[in-house]
Amino acid sequence: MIIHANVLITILSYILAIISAIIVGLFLRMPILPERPMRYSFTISIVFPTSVLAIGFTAILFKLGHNGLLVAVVVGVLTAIFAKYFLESLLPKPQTEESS
Amino acid sequence: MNEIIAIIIAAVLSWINFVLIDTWMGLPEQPGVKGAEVIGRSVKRRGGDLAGGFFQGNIVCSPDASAGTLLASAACYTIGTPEGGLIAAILVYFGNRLCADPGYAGTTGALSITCIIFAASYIGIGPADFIVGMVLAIVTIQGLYHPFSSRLLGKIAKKMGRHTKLP
Amino acid sequence: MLIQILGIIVLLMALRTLFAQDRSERMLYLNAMSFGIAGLMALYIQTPFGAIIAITYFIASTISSNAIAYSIGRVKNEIILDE
Repeated sequence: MIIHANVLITILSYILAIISAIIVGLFLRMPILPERPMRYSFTISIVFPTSVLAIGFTAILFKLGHNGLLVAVVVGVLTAIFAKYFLESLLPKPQTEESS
Repeated sequence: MNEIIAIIIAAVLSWINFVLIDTWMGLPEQPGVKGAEVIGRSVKRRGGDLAGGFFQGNIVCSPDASAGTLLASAACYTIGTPEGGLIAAILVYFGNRLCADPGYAGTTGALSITCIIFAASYIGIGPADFIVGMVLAIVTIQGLYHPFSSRLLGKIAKKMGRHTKLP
Repeated sequence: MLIQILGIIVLLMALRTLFAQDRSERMLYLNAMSFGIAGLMALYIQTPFGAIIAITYFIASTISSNAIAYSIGRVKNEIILDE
């Protein structure tokens, strides 16, 4: 399979975005994994949702025309900061529903 | 590739993708919100399985892997693979949090179907076939005969250790 | 051809919604119809904005279905006074 240089740089950019989000997340002391059982927890951790948001925002910027490795690294850093401080106020944890 | 065969293959792949991911993420175990419990109990009253009913109710009341699959295919069709799937993943995550759901099922479904669409593009199945395939798959679960489909979902849930413990 | 297939599915689900007896059963058919309409939006408006519209419509219809299903449960527990 012939892998062109453009595809390689794109894949590398996504991986770099995730790595920079993980590094900044570790620096900001975010939990790495949510608590068990993982599928029911609302905690914001490094693996979820910070990594998903990092590659998502990178994809948005790539489609808007700003390509390159530097864009991906910057987006990863900004996503980790956004997830730590602003995500909780944007999407609050739901209170448990009252039963009638 | 013949269009009908492509749609059928895409439907089977989407069905497997969202049923396995949703079952693994615990949708048959308990109703995520009150509305899902209402639908689950109604399915059980009509002769179905309670865990399958909770699964169907959770699909209605909150974006899950089925929504992630459909929206990621739509985004891959209009925006391009794989950027569309990644963008759909974050939008589905925001939608999940708006519906009081942690968000694991929707994003996992979107990301995994993006990988499947990327691989299937090498054998001639495009994202548009996956859009139609996903709608066909959800019609087999929600639109044909609920007691039978809920019993099938309940059997799959039991095999994966996710059957409900509620009465 | 893809748009025609989705259109037929949407029509069939809409008819089943009209003729279903149980209110909770109708919610399931409506949900299948919403999937079809979201897919139709993306296939018809073939630009990236079309995907945004389809995603917004689908999440909004999910929030509405959630509210309706919750209210169906609440209504069952009410006692209706007849004047």
